[in-house]
Amino acid sequence: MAIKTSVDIGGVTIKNPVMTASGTFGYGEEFAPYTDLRALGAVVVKGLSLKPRPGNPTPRTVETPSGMLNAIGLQNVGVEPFIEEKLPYLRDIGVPAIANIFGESVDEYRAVAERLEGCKGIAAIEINISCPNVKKGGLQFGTDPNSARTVVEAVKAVTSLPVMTKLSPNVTDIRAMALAVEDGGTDSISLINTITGMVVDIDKRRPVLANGVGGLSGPAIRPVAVRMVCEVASVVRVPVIGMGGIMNGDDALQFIIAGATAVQVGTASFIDPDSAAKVVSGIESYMKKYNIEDINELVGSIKLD
Amino acid sequence: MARAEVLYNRALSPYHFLMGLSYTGVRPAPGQFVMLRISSGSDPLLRRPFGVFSLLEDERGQVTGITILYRVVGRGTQIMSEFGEGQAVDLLGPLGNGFPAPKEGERTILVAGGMGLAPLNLMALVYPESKLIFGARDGVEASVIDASKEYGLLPSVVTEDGSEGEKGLVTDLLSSALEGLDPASVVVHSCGPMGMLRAVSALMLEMGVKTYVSLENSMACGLGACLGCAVTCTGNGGEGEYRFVCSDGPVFESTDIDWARIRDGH
Ligand SMILES: Cc1cc2nc3c(=O)[nH]c(=O)nc-3n(C[C@H](O)[C@H](O)[C@H](O)COP(=O)(O)OP(=O)(O)OC[C@H]3O[C@@H](n4cnc5c(N)ncnc54)[C@H](O)[C@@H]3O)c2cc1C
Ligand SMILES: Cc1cc2nc3c(=O)[nH]c(=O)nc-3n(C[C@H](O)[C@H](O)[C@H](O)COP(=O)(O)O)c2cc1C
Ligand code: FES
Repeated sequence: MAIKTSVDIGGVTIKNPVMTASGTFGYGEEFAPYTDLRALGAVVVKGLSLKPRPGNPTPRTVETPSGMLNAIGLQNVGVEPFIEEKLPYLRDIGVPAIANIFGESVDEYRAVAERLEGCKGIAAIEINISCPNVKKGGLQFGTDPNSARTVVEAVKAVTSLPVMTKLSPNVTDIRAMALAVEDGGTDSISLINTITGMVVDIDKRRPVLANGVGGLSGPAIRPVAVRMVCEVASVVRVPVIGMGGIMNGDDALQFIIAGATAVQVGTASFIDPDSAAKVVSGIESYMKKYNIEDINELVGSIKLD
Repeated sequence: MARAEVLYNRALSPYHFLMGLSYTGVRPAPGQFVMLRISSGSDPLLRRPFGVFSLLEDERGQVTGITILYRVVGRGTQIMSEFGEGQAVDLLGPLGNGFPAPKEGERTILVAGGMGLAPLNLMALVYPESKLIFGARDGVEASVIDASKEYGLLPSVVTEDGSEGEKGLVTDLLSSALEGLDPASVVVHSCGPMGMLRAVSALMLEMGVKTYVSLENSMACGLGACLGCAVTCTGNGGEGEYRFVCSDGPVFESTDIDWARIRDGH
């Protein structure tokens, strides 16, 4: 039986619904010795800002039950060196790159998106709106629907690339955020980013992470992520991309059945650099087992009664 | 990635173990490390990094395994200490850069503190002309040196409480080892607690001896992807920069490290 795994994630079609999550797969090349990058639907690269950012002091990571906290501080090379030095690799081997971008102001988001315009090899832009507070005004793009909409509108105005907007789970009503970015014109919605958490060193009586708090990822957050994907998929029309603790094909299928058109694999790549490719084959086995010809039949097939 | 098997897991003290693992991949260089997966489930989730203590070889000199010297400090190493012979372990590596190979005519001094012995033991085995200095807090911490002696190495030993070898610090032994030597002909390689590496580096800088340090940091991936294992370095035109223990190190030239911005104990 021929199975069809390609999906349209809002203005761009990828050959299968599995991507790597931003910040967990470098710029792709780092993983080439350990996995077949061409097996992936797309690679979402580490978050890009206009200028390089040095990131936070260490410790930046700590393990938690079935998960980890990170406070990397969005360290990255900056958009320019990314285009010059990092992007050519993925372009040359023919793997679609999705550029994850962030800024401290609407202007910075716009400027990064402008810089990416016309760059060969980029399939889409993913806007990360769950980044640090905006210094002036104190608004947080990731938790205020109006600011989130403003960022999406600003990026959409300057790019011809499909735009995916990545939501933070650190909100009371994820649906309100999703509806706001859809209203702003986003072509798809990805979720979830990490959940804010803290681990305390009881000997030193201080947080383990130098930054105090960090973002929780890994299997521990999976049920929260599946619930949020289910909620968002039920209220928006644009494709939803689900992530949070996906370790294998079965985990990915939970998201797809709950309403995700595609998924991203994050923390799992740290433990097994071949994880995302294994998720692809896991999904294919499931499709064969249940005689499903087209992955789209599964998307949102959850029975809620 | 390779599936390794525990060949043996021997206690050197109630907290210290030497684990032999079958392994047939690329020959690890001294100073490189491996990431071991402790559980096939999700808790403990992340791999744990360990230096390569020695290589196991067949008659033809082909690598058939590696050994890991480790101390039980938390849940992951506790679980490891309970591994029996035949236990399957998922091994990623060898990773990192390793120590630079000694040049012709160079005097190599290896300065190990506590568990910092692991990568330097392999260095001493591969370059037998090097001198190994080992320091530990007390007799229990010093128990690991027996594993080196079993290989025929003749380390100079100090403990802070004098319970094993001389009483003192590794820097005392290092100073005496350098007596009468031309500083320009010596290279020091060091691994151990941050405070010790700081002291060794400061002393060697003062004496004009080129020094390499092998650092540790909390690591989620070991592959240069998570950007978790950052270390403050000089460079970048004096502005300073973060480099990564897993992919730029774990071995750094001591003058590349911005010691003032590192908190000991991390
Ligand atoms: C490149 C590298 C090489 C290493 N080589 C060796 C080796 O050869 N032998 C060996 O015994 N250990 C080595 N370590 C340290 C080892 O990785 C940790 O001790 C181990 O990960 C702890 O796991 P755990 O689950 O037992 O402890 P956890 O539960 O993760 O932590 C328990 C306690 O140990 C502390 N801790 C955790 N990691 C480290 C660390 N890297 N350094 C110091 N304290 C830490 C934590 O802060 C915590 O207080 C190395 C580390 C690195 C980065
Ligand atoms: C170390 C680390 C760095 C991350 N960096 C970014 C980033 O730069 N931009 C972003 O949008 N998300 C970032 N994330 C979030 C992940 O892309 C993903 O949303 C999250 O980890 C949940 O998925 P997971 O449980 O599969 O890891 C990062 C996550 C981790 C663990
Ligand atoms: S441990 Fe992930 S970058 Fe070094």
